[in-house]
Amino acid sequence: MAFGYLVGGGAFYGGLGWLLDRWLETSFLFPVGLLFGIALAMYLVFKIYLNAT
Amino acid sequence: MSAASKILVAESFTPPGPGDFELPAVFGDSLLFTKPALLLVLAAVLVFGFFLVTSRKMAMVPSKAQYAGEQAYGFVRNGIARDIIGSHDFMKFVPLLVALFFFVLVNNVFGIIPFIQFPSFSRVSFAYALAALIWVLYNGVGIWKHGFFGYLKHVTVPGGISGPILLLIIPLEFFSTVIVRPATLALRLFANMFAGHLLLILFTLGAEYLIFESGKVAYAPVGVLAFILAIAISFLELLVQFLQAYVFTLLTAMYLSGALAEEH
Repeated sequence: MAFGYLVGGGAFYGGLGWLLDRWLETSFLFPVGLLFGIALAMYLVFKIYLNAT
Repeated sequence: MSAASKILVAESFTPPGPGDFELPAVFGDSLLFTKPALLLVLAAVLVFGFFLVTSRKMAMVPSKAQYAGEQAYGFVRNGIARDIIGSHDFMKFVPLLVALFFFVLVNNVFGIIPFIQFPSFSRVSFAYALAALIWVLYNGVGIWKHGFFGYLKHVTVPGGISGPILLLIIPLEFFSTVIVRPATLALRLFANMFAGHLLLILFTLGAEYLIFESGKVAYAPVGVLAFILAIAISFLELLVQFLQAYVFTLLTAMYLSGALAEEH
């Protein structure tokens, strides 16, 4: 489950960054989005699983 | 390295690869009916036959066959369905989960049964189809339970989080529950079966090559060792095959219970 969040976060915000990169013709938004998504997913995992126990 | 020696190396030992999984059609040249498709049908017949035979003559004092059938059924019913979904709702899903577990298990174990020796789910399309079925099921159950918009809220808004961060969390939650879940479910099963089968091909073909075709006597003992390892890996594969069938069913039950839950 937690793994799904990490993959989902990286894929969604990484994908968003990649699309923005293509649109704005930059190259730094993809890694930024990727890291941001993973960080957000980790926040979510901690929040949910610490609440559950 | 010259071109000639490259050809020589290529002829001496061809390592197995993804191409070894593309089996020819069983009848004629219809690509719809290949060996893994045949194995799927065989697995369905075997599972159906097993439960038919073991439940045909039910008695208070069970025969050996009835006992085996009841143990198999009880394992999934109590060990997976009741533990994960909870005693209120689980009976509705027991037939599905029992059938799913034994169907996947038989298909996986085909990977080490002599003369069959091919795990059907090492072809990724079958794993995708099975995961798509589960995807439709758990989303359908969620919509049936909470209503369409209620379910949408249920899968996108995790409990215990409020405030503006929800704007960032909602797309993430939607993405990981609705899109990533079926993909990881399918790929987990596929990749385990694919890698296991590839490993077995590599060790047996390598052993065969080293013993009979390398032309060097000194290589033969290494080949024998590789063959012994292939047998050892078969036992490891049996464990992996069982575990993957179990994990697949367990996750299905968890997704169902997640869709049925009142609150996160």
